[in-house]
Amino acid sequence: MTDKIDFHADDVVVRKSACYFCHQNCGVLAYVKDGKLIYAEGDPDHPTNAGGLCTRGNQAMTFVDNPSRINYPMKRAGKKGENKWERVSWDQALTEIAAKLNQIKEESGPEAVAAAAGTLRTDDWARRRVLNFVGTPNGFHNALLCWIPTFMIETAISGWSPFETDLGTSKCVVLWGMNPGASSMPGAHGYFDLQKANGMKLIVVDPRYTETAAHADLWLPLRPGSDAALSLAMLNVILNEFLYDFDFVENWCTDIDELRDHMEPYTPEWAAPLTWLDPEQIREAARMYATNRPGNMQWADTWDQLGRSASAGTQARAIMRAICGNLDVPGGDGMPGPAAYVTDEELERNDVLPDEVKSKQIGSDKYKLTTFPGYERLAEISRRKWGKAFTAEWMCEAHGPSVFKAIITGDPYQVRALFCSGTNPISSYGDSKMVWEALKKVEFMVVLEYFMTPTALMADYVLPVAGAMERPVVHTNYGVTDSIVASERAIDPLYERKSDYDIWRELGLACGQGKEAWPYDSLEEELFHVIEPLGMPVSSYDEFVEKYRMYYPPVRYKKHEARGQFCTNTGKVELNSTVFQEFGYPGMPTYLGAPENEVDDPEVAEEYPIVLTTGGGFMPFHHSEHFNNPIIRYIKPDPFFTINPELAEKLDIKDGDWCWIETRRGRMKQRANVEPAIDPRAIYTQRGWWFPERDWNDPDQPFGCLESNTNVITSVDDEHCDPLTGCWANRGLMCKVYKCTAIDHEFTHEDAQFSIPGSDFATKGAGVHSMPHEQKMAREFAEPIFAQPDTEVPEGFAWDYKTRRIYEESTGMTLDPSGWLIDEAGTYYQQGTHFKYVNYNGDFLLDEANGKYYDFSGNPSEGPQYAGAELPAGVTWNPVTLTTVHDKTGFRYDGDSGWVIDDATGTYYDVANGWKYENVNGVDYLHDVQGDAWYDMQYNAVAAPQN
Amino acid sequence: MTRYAMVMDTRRCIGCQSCTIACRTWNELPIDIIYNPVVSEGAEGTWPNVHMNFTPMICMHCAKPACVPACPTGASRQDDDGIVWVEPTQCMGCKVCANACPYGARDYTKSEGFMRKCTFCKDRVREGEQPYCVKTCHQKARIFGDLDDPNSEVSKLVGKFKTERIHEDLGTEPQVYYIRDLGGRG
Amino acid sequence: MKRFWGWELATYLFLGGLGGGMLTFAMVLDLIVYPGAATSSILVWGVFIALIVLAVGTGLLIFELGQPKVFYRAFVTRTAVIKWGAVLLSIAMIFAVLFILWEITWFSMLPFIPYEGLADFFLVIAGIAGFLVMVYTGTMIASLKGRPFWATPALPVLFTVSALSTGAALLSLCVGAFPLPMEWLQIPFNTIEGAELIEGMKHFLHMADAILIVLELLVLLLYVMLQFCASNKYAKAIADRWVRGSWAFTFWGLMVTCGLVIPLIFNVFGGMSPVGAIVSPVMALLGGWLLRFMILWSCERRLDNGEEKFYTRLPQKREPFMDYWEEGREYWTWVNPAQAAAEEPKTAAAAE
Repeated sequence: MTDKIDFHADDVVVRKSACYFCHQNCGVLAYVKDGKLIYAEGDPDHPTNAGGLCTRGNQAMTFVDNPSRINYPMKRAGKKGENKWERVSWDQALTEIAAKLNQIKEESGPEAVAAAAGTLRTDDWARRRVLNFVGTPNGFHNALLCWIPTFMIETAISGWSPFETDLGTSKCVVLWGMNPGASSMPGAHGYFDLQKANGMKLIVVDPRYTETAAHADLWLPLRPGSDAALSLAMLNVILNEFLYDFDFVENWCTDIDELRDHMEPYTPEWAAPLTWLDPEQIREAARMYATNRPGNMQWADTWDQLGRSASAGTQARAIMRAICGNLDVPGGDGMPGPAAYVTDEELERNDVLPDEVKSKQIGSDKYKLTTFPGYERLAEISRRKWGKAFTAEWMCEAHGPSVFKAIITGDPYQVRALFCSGTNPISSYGDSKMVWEALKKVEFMVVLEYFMTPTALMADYVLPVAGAMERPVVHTNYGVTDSIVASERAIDPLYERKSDYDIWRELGLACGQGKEAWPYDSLEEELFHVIEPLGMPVSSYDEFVEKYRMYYPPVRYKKHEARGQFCTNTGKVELNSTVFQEFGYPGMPTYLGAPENEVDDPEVAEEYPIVLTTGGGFMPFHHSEHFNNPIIRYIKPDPFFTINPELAEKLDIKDGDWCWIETRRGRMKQRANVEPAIDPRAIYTQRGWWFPERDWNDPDQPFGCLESNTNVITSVDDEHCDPLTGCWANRGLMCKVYKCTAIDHEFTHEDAQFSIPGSDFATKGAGVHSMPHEQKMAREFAEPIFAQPDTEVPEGFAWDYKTRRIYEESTGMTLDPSGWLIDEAGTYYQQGTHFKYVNYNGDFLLDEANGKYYDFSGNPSEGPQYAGAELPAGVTWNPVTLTTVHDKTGFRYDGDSGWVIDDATGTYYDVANGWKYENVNGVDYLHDVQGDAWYDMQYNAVAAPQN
Repeated sequence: MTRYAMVMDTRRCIGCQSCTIACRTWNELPIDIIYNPVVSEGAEGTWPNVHMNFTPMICMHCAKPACVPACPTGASRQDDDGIVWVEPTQCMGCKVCANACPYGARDYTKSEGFMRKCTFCKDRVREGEQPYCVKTCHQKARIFGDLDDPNSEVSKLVGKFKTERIHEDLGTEPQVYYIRDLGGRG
Repeated sequence: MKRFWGWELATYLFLGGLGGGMLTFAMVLDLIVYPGAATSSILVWGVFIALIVLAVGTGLLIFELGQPKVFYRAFVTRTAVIKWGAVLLSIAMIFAVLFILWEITWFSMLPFIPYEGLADFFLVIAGIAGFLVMVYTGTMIASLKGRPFWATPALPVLFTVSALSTGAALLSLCVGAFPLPMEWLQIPFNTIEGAELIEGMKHFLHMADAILIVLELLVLLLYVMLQFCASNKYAKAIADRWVRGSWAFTFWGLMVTCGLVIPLIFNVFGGMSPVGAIVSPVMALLGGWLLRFMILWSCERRLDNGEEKFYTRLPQKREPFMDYWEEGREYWTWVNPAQAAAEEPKTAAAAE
């Protein structure tokens, strides 16, 4: 490459760009000549990667000018699946899309529009803004499999998710289901260095033996999906052996004794058969974590991919962090809190989304914490206590699988339009066959993409999106951290690609959203608006990137001590969460088994004896991306699942054999990687596989998108989803494995059929067997504390689930059980007449429209009389405002002091003349301002005092 | 004198193959050619007592290379700083060197017709930069430098740790040194 | 694991050895066994076939090169084994040509009368060069010390014996044949004396072949068994494949039985019958060819831990996704079909 291009030449500009093939957003130096990208390399000055780049990052160049990139807006010309396309202009595409959206909105309401998006690949706040202005609550990501359940649970318990772990002085790090060796690589070597340098203990919880487990001080190879049992048992040990931080618990936590009683049954002996671990291993882990303080636990995807057992485990871990005194201390789990710059939440314009559609958000009736009910409750607490809230995008979204089910079944209502931006739901959501059916069926679909994915094939419009080098990239951890790392656009988008901000903005404008919604013309301008509050001496976003690139606020530990409270409902770390209880969910961690397991479902385990775990990342791919890059694909041409030699021998499987992996949902095939890296009772499958080189006209699975797709066999049935957060199960399912044979090696038409619920496929075959609303949940909610009252809601009134009150629709005032209306300030009004209740020297009703008073019988009344001593001359009583007014000055007469007071300035005047009281050099004067005359306090004229 | 060498700290290597891909991209290699794979047997042992090691491979730039004397055309050559490389215009594509190399460091694709091998990124190195695989390694598992300079990092590492070289018994004196974590887990 | 050399090289090694062996035997017959004027002309056709064999072999070698244009560079270095091979091949071929030219009548039409005795000299040179070519084919492979199955001193011996045996076999088919008009020869051999000579030579070659086959059997079995019992696990694995693995039938059935034992039996007991004279040499030739294939396909390198796993999981053949790269634009052309359709109108408009 050096031979061909001199990238140190004078006319080559170096731009500080960023990679965005994963969440790390490593810094990239882009060398640009004449507006063309000629070379890209890792930025040595970037804090994340220090010059390094991984497999994916090194594909920056090939990504920009990849011939298979989509470069022009395209419109479907034939029927769905015919794969005929015509190129259209941006104008035409956006106008037509906007017209269709407005039509659907008109006919079926805005909630019939849904939108899926890929992982941190778009300017999500821009998307949310469009959706908010359209008026739909049904935006979603794969958020429920990735951090959001954890964030919301931890925020409910301790006020903010303590995700900014501080490794530097840590004495113990728990990597729970996390393999930085494969996922967040630039950070991985840090752990191993610290182990050597600080004697830091490293605990790895992972059913697989991985690159990371290789370095652990203690490795817990648990049964996949039994993480909840392990964390409950560890919490039990910490509580019963009194290993926690007494001071912290005493001062900052609630209900420790209740918690200890509640956790009593979850002993290590109880957990041992569930987790396949030895009770002593669990004790050792608990002791190692609790006694090596400060310690921290790194979040991992695993926590959110366990299905119905997820929230109990996360709750227990959140409590462990807290009671061991690790919250917000050096070397512990840092809580950043909201940022000083304009946060994503503020950019989203959630204020314009009407309340009545919020309750129509799909999934909000089932999974309350990660949808509007939970979000609004927690965001309200956060706004009250921190001043700002976390994003609604990610944290408050429709339940994706339920949206797909709604498209198929029309339950709870028909979703008619779907946006997919930078996502390939067939690969990334659970129960792919069902998702694929939904994509085929949805009436109107718009896809914003880089490449032609199986999803894009079903679209009505495919819009070309600009990649990382072609747009600025901002890294703010989903908009919930207080730091910012910014990168600039290296080149303008090639061909007719547009950055997704521009697409969303222009679509919004085409839909009739005006300047109010989109005050800025470009992403850079909007981002400059974001960083402006930081007060940096820069005049543009690009200048910020060039000069500073990042902003990290000064690190402050133990913010709760300075503030006097945690940002929770009660101001303390809630070991027994009041918010959960409000939703009718146990306030303390309460065990639910893995979605399918040999203890709870022995009959399932008989047919499907092997434990399946999936969803873990593997190099060099990221989710379903890069399968169409031959450079990368050459290294990993085929999908492999890992199986222990012992099990492989029993099943007569040899290394490299193609095998079927089957669950109750169906089957898919991968090749066997026979390796003792996993327990003989379990297997691990790779995710994300599709084959871009295959036939795109295959009606059952274009691009081979189902054949080796592990999500064909995962479950999104409601009873397998976490009842609190809605995350579904990738791990700990039950499966069987058998070799592909000569007559049974093709993925057939029958294999591609779906069923709802998915788990009925094996027994009842394809088809919809029960509607989504009939499906059972893993745990039914107890009666919520703030349940809707049985009393009928009168005409003109409505129940607001969010604030849990009946309110009058015309005025928004709350209906009190007493029959009175109460406004936001707490003032009472009479129902019907809306006369204000005035209690002053008797009870009166005031008609604020004309200032007339009535008594309770409805007869006109003189109104309240002044309650104080007799008023001096020149002072009038105003019964409407209930004030005494000095006629001459118009200011308030204060009956207690006898002075007239200008409340705005705090100036005093005398009642008789309206002269101003002044104190000059310690002497009191009255000053006639108009006549410019001075008097002493006995009304004798005096000379003007000299200063 | 300069004697370029590389140290592979396999304790740091996580097998991500970033170097493999980076090299393919930087050198614009044909699709089926790999200069520096990262290889591993995967987990070894019996569950759960297993261990795993990764070995980043590359041309060993041997002090006594087997490939250079095997070349009938003189296209394969070794410079004074130890870098072994092939001049593509002089190579007739007989592939005897690829068969001579005990490390699989040479590769060939029919459409090009000449032998390819790692050059330690000699263009970069001679301008004072790191080879591209070293630059891209975010784990700092690949360390490159001048073995004749006692202050270089490679000299220090080779002096400090017990290192091993691959197929040392063949007498090729490979110049890539491996620091192994022999303890496995723990 | 990538195999760099294919059928061309295997055939070249076989043909090189074969031609070398033929020249060697021609030299031995001409100078030692039957010294006399007529011998040379009886051997002309054999030498011609040897020349063709070497030429085809060399042609295959050059054809197989990645950049045949640069072939001349094979002569510029000093030490490489393969360079010596090229030189020896050239010498053998040049002197074989000279020998043939000297033996046919056209030559007497030249304005000067060349010294006739030179023909024997040329054959000696060609014969010695041919012998060295035989040895070289084995030495070249055996010098590749990264390949455990090859890098033994026994391989040149095996190749030489095999080359001599096949050379004797093919030469026995050529002795006495001359499909061109006999007048072209300076000394026609369609005489009684000539017939006796031919008979004698064939007998000699059959006997030599029989001995060589016995030798080859011994060397081959020793070679494979030594590898089989070797401490080197890679060589051992390959030998295992030969002896009792996936190649056992090819090795024992085709190569040992059909390529060596049966020709040996025919040689010893078949005498001058058509079976002995034609079938047996052909089988021996095919056996020798197979040997080169089997050796060349046993090219596994000594591997470091994990290399095998890595390489066996790479695409083993040309997968469809790889072709995006080779054809087309800067990196690869999988021109997205949708986009190709979309871009078409633009291209058409530009063309107009």
